[in-house]
Amino acid sequence: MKPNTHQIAIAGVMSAVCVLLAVTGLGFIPFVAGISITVMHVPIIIGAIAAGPAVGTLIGIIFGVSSMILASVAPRGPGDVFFTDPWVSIVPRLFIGLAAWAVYRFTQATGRTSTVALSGLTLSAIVLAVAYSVSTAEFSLAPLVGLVTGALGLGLVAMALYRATRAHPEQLALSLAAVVGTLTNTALVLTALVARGYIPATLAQTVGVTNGPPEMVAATVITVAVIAAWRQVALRPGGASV
Amino acid sequence: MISYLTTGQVLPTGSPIHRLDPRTRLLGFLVLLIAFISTSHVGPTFLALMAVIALVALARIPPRYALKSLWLLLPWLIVIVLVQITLGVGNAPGCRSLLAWGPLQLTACTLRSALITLMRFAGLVLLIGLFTWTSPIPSLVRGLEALASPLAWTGLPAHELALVGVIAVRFIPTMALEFERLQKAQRARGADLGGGRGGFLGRVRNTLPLIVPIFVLALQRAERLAEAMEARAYSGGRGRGRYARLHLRRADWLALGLLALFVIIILWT
Repeated sequence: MKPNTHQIAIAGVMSAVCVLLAVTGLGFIPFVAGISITVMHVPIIIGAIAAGPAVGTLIGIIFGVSSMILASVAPRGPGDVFFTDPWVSIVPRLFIGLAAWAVYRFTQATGRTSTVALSGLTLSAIVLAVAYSVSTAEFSLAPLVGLVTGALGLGLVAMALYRATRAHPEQLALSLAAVVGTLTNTALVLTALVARGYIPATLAQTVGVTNGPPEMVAATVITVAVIAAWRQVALRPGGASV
Repeated sequence: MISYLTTGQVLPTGSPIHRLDPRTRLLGFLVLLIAFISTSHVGPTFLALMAVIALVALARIPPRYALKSLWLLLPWLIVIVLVQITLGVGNAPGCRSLLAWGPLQLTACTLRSALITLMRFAGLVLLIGLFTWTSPIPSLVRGLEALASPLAWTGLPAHELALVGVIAVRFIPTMALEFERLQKAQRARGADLGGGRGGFLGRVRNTLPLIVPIFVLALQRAERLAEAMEARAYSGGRGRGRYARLHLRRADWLALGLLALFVIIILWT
């Protein structure tokens, strides 16, 4: 499976963007109460969509290695220390590209109805997981809050899908790829952290539920914006740019 | 920030470690890395930690420089260890209880687990730091390619992998400069880059004027790079010769021997 020149170039440059996002802090978007969500995995998703799963995996390897190195020589916070362990920093990132590409290709190939159906299923599954996690938390109103979250979330999903049926199918495919890619990142990293015994499962669940959905939203916004901008530029007729 | 990205982290002290073949350094790094992450006993972890400290000394890294990153992480490590002890990580029935002080239940097992965690992360930080201080990126990539090329028969594109690494590293300073220019240009156009206006979604949209151009410029650069490579008749790695060749010298064989000894000791304990 030899990458061609085009794929090599994209893999290399997207890896550079990953490292840049990490080092300049651009990859962190402040969310709420001092928590930041990360968009540093988005180059992997974009690379996979633009040039295939091999490229996505390559970028994932380099991003994982760079996050391991940055965690030890330039740590940003308490959680960084866990990323010196390659099981946490490298292994989860290998699958982001593959997952995003697979979803993108599948939804492209099967058309709008299937994309909407798949998006609906994916988003509903995420909403229900969040609602379940909230309702099993340890405070008195938890089941009620969980129920309300689930109902509200499913309502939002229905609304989004209704609008999405009028949207461009390409945009749907990109959004779903971004969501699944981010989900892969969050789920696998948290799984690695728990499997290695660094954080307890309940904390992982909480972090996943609080950070996961905003990260998916941010990744979707960025992915759609970038791919749309890039493809327009590529299609525009122009002279040679030396 | 730019100086950090362009000069890299290599400390050229001219020590025996620096003079080793990059393949030897890479193998040593991998062996020690695997030793740290795969063992959950005190003995091997301690041994690996001692080995790393010895190597840092041998590489003539100034102690203050070496301890700088550890120093930064130390408060967090201690917090994490305390949290782990409180949560009882590593506890199993039948562990002797050493101390019970409110929420802090210290047993022999949690103490052992905490000790291993401390040693493991301290060792990993020093090891990764040592590796970045002694390996200039070009020689590192050469070593990677040389080590991976025997695996080429399995379909692993060793040369292409190495090339991707080289391109990534070479483009980091370029992208950083591009980013600074972009920031200034967008500011000159009055973009609201820092505000928290409009809630979370608004903040994401505010980062778009910076993030989207970075990606698009990167993708455009990649296309031009691919064109340039093909225009210069780049045809992949098959049959590609090299100007500089890697030789294993006596010091390398000595290092490899010590490494093998280390592996045997670790496996035995």
